[in-house]
Amino acid sequence: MTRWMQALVWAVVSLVGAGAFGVLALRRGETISAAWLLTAAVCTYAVGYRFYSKILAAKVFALDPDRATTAELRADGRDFVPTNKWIVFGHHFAAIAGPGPLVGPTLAAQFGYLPGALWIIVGVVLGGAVQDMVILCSSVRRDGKSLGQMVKDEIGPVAGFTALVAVLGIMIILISVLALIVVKALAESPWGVVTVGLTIPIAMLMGVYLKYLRPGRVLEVSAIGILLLVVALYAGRYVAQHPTLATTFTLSGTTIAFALMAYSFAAAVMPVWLLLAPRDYLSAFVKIGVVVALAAGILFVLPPIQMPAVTRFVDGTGPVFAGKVFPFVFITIACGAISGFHALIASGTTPKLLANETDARMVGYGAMLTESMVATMALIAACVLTPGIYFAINSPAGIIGTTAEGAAQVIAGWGFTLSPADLTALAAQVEETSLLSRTGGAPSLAVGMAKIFADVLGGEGAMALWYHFAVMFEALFILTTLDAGTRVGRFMLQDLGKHLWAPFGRVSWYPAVLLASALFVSAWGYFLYQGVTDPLGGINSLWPLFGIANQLLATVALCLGTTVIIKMGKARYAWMTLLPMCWLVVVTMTAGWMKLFSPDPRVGFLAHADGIRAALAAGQLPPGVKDAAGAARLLFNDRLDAAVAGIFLVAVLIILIDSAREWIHVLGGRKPMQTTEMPAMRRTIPLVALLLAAPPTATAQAPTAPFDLSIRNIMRGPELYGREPQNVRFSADGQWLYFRWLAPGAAWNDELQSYRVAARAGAAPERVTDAHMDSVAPMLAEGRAWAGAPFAQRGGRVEAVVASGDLWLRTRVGTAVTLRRLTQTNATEGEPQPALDGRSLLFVRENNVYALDVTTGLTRQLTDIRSGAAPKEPEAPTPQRAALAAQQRILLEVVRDELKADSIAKAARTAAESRRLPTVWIPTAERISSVTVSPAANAVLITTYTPPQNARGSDVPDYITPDGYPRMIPGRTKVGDAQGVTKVGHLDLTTGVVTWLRLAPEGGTAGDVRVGDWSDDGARALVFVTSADFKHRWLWAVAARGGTTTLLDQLRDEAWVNGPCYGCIGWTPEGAAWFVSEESGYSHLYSVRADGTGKTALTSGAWEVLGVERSPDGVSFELVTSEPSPFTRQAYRMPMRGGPRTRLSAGDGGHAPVIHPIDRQRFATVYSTPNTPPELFLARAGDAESAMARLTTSPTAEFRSYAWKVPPIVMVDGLDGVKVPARLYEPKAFGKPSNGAAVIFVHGAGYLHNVHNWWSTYSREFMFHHLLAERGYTVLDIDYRGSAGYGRDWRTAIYRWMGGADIDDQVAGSKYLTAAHGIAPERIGIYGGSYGGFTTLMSLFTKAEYFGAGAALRSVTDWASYNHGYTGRILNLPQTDTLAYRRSSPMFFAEGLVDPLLIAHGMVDTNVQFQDVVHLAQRLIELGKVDWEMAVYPVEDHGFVRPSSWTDEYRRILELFDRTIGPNGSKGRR
Amino acid sequence: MSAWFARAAATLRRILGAPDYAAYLAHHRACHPDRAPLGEREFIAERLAARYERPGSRCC
Repeated sequence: MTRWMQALVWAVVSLVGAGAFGVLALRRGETISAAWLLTAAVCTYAVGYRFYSKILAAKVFALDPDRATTAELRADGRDFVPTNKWIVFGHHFAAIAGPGPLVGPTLAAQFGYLPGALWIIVGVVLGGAVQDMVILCSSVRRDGKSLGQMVKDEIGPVAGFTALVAVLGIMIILISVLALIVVKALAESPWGVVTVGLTIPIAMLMGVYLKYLRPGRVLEVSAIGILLLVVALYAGRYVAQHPTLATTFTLSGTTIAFALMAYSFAAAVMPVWLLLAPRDYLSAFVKIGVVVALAAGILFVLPPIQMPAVTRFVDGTGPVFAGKVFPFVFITIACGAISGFHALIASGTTPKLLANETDARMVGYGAMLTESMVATMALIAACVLTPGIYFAINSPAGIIGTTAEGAAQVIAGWGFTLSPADLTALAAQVEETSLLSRTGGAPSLAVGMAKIFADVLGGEGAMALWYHFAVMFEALFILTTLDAGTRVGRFMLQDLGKHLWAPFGRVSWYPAVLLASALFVSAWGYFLYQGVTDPLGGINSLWPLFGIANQLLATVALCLGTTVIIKMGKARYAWMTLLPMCWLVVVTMTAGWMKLFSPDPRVGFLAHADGIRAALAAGQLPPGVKDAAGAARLLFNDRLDAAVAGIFLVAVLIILIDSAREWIHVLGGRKPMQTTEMPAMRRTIPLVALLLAAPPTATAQAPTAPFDLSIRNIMRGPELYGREPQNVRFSADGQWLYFRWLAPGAAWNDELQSYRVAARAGAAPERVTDAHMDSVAPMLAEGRAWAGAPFAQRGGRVEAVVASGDLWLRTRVGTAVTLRRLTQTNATEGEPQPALDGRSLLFVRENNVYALDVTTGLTRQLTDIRSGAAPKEPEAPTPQRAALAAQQRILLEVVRDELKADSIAKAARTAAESRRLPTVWIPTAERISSVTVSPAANAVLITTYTPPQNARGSDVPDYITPDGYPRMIPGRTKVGDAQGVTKVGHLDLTTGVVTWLRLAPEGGTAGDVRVGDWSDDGARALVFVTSADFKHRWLWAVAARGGTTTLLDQLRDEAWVNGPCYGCIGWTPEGAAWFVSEESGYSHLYSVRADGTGKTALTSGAWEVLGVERSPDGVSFELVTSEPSPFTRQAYRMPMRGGPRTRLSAGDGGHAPVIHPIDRQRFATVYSTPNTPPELFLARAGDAESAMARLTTSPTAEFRSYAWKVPPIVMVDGLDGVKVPARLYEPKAFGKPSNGAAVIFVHGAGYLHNVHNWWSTYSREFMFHHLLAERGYTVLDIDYRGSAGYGRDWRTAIYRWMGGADIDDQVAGSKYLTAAHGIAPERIGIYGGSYGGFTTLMSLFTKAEYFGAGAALRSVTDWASYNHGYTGRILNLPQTDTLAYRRSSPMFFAEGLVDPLLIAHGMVDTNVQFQDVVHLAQRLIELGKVDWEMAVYPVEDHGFVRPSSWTDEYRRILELFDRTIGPNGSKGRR
Repeated sequence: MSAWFARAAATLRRILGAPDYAAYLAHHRACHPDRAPLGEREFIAERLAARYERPGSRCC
């Protein structure tokens, strides 16, 4: 349809609607067809939906079909279920449509049809539907939070609490007024009583059927229930026509009222399956059925409306309820125009079902329009009665009297004709004894409906059946609200009450349940009783109270909506919620004020009370009251009602003021414009959808501009390729993955944030707050489990965990995890360890060990380790002093007395001290670095570190400071300086004796020492020691009893010990030790018995074990290895005793797996390939690479728009014949011709792996090499000797000579480029950082003939200036191995420089210090070298951070190569 | 015909808000295949208890 056609159609719809309104408003005096009302309503709804709701959807909330909804993100198959929008619509409509929209319009008909119709139709479009949709959208974007929670979060705690209390108050009034309607419909009606009463056993029968006979067969049992309802209908008629039974079941209003209270109480405390649930199904069916039938009936009959457009009662003298048309029509009709109660549903079940945000328009706005339609139909049904009959049914006896004749007279006085005979005939037709004063709305609606239905089916003869069917229908779903409402009220009351008295909140403790239910029932029961006994009919006073309460809740909801809209930055649309809100404030305030203070006793509660008091004072009784006690009760009720109305008004004011304050703060900039909205997550497109979608999305996503492969752009680094998901952990229940990350689009200096993602395919990550992380810390912390703890739940796993320095007990049964906090201290508790006694938790607090008995809560201190000098024992006296003292003792009694007293005191002190823990004193020069306790709680290992005396730090000057003065950054020492000493002491807890362990065999000296785990039986601990000269590694077992040490394994490497997984050690459940050793030339896993015998290699081969974990069940090892090739990293599982390995992970790239805590066949993995940055995946053991589910997308669309290449791995022939792996970037692969020049990139660290099939940490360089290749340069990136990934010999090939074998491999690279790519040696550039910078210098200084230019970044120039741990291993010490240092340091070879050289260094490099290149610069100056330059970066440390620094550095590198080896460079022109 | 009927029945059940065990099972199979789902009776009992504990599932 074209735009013009659409515009035309909508113009016609609008005109038709306006025309229908015109007819409704202007035709007077005679009846008018209901068709006009229906037309006006439908046209208005259509226009409102098409245009008004569109603003909310498109402008205010900008509903986004691609934004994942909470139902998707949190899908759990229970509350959160993405559901088809028509079903959600039906569900939501069934939930919001109750008796409200039927009764309100019926009562409001006393003003004529026009005021009610206008409010219903206009109010819904501008108010009710807006409210429902706004709350629904807000809740959908806040994880389906409830109204109360959102008010608390967005407006404030005061408003939140007020809303909570208001909801409770509203429920009390709502239930009482609905109950009153039922009472009015059933009083004196045996047919009604029997039919409605029978619905209770019917529902219970259904419940039993569903529970025991055919569980889950809801539809089947509902069909049976409906059949039984028809039977009940006829049974009612039978009873009503039976002379004796009829009298038995003719019940008074009060009897029915008490019956209802008893019934609701029972329903609230009984199991829900028995009564609530089946009745709910039944009533939902009947509800939808009747609504549809009524609509069909009205459409079919199009009955004439008998009621005038406006009656004289707009002046406030109406008999149905008192009050003028303003404000009371707006109070009387709540549901149908706007109902605050809907906000509870729009923030209850519905938001958890929406499959797509955009559905909120149809569900929120559309369903409310439908409810408004129901209200319009109820109004029609009430208005098809002649005004006379309408008023006869709906006016209280206090006004029209108790006889048909009297009533006819009163009604005639109002200007409506009513013949008493007609009224009696109608009563007989519906088989009721009388229809006079059957207030409450239900009977008159039933008569109206019966008229319409009988017109369609059955004629006048069927009126009685239709009438009672309608009554039953109304009563049925009023009862449904009654019983479910009472139950909800009971829960709310318990929730509120628990703050006063905790046990009251226990929902499964029967006394609390009974008490809360009784309290709640008596609360509404009181109002009901008051209404039933009120001579004015009760509806008169209660319905306005309910209306005010309901509109109050709507005001709260609209306040919330306004707040949300303002905080979204959409303040210019806030009028959409402010408009209905202001109207409701005006209406509720006016109505409330009038109900309180109106001088008209029929309107004002207080005026009415005054009237009664005056009457009593005058010795009279008010009409309809039998005695003085009744009058006093009436007086009290008036004041109670007034108080309730007052409380509601105050509540509105509080929330309004609280909200306004929030708005002013936010708009005035005093508060950040921040909502609690969940961050938007893209819907991850399911694979199937991708396959079906043609053309592929890659083209759709490609930006129009080509990727800007310039230095400035690629040096934005992580702003392009994104952040790798880090610190990936499963929650203890295995449901969530938590990690540190940043979604694409973050700036280079943004810090990583915490994220989580549901552990299932298709889930989207969401950012979580620090507060959330604090709250889930005990779910994420690593735990250690008791083996068969006696207090564990059946089949559960109980773990001790530490979160934020406090101890928790975490129990998992199946996937349900419960937490129990054990400590809350400022001190840091750590190293939680289940004790072997099965009930204690051992832990360390401030370097002392404690045992906490989890069953009793007793905390016992096991050690008293203190820093300081031990108290001195008194020294033995010299012989001279001893002789003198002996003489004193002999001569003087007073001395003897004193000594005796002293010795008694000392004995007492010793006795007291012996009961205390013996103190272990650690000299103050030593720092306690760890304390570990055996799970048998009989021994502790204390590790101390004594820092070196006189060691000298090499501080780094920092020139750029806020105050303009340079400052010194404390620096590390240089290699060969004094080293600290680590000691391990064995503390026997049974004796309190400490034995310091000797951790090196004869002739050796221990250097680095690490205490490992205790064996499962607590008998031994592992201690992993590296010798001070780095050439030995010793693995010791220390026995808990006696502290004897057993050497389990030792490794000597003539170069130095190290390798992948160096220090990976542990115990098997049987008590054998396992460890990783490079003794075979590659790191592999070994086991050895605790006595040092039976060493077994569990893995072997020319590949490396990179990571080992013992599975939680102790059955297998979970390994990461390079078994398939040195270029990949894969996860494996292997039995504890060794044997066949099962590969878990797939693909050629690199995995960093995290195994699922419960299902060990599942794992999360951070996986990457050379041209796709690391992403978080979920996988299952044995899945193909394509079956892994990707959960994150880290790079930006901009990055992904370039076709990044996988550089092939080539094998370069080493000078010694060994094949050396290298990555090759060939211009040919980029469709570019070679420019005749090449660049060799040298990675840093030496011991680092960069030629592999996963994403390189040299990500900027990866992009820079693309840039070089696009310009015709060939790039080679070599895993030279010294690199990681190729075993021990490769690793140690540079021992005592850095610049030897490693430089040979660069030379081999140069030769390869010449031989295989025809590039002249003088046109080969070399560059790299750190060790790569060192390599560049050594290459240019010592092998100039193979290279034409170089850029040395953050380079080491003199190894004697570097640190101890790294350099001491490779080159020994400068004071003892001068040869190694001389031949390895570029400073000694600078005279060899002939080629152009760029030196670049960060001035605050605390690792390879700036001092290195300063030394080199001076040396080059002294040597008179010409073609070198130096670029310094004043604020950069070893790893550059700022894009500007990166850009400057790489611009210089590119310029160097372009101007030297490039095609137009000094060496290229030759 | 039976498929159509099953679909209509499922639709009605969801509109009623009755516990939909089949949908739960489907969800469970898709997302938590590693764990045993609740039994039908347990599931129904759990759903009903949740439904009548808080406002938000029904109006006036």
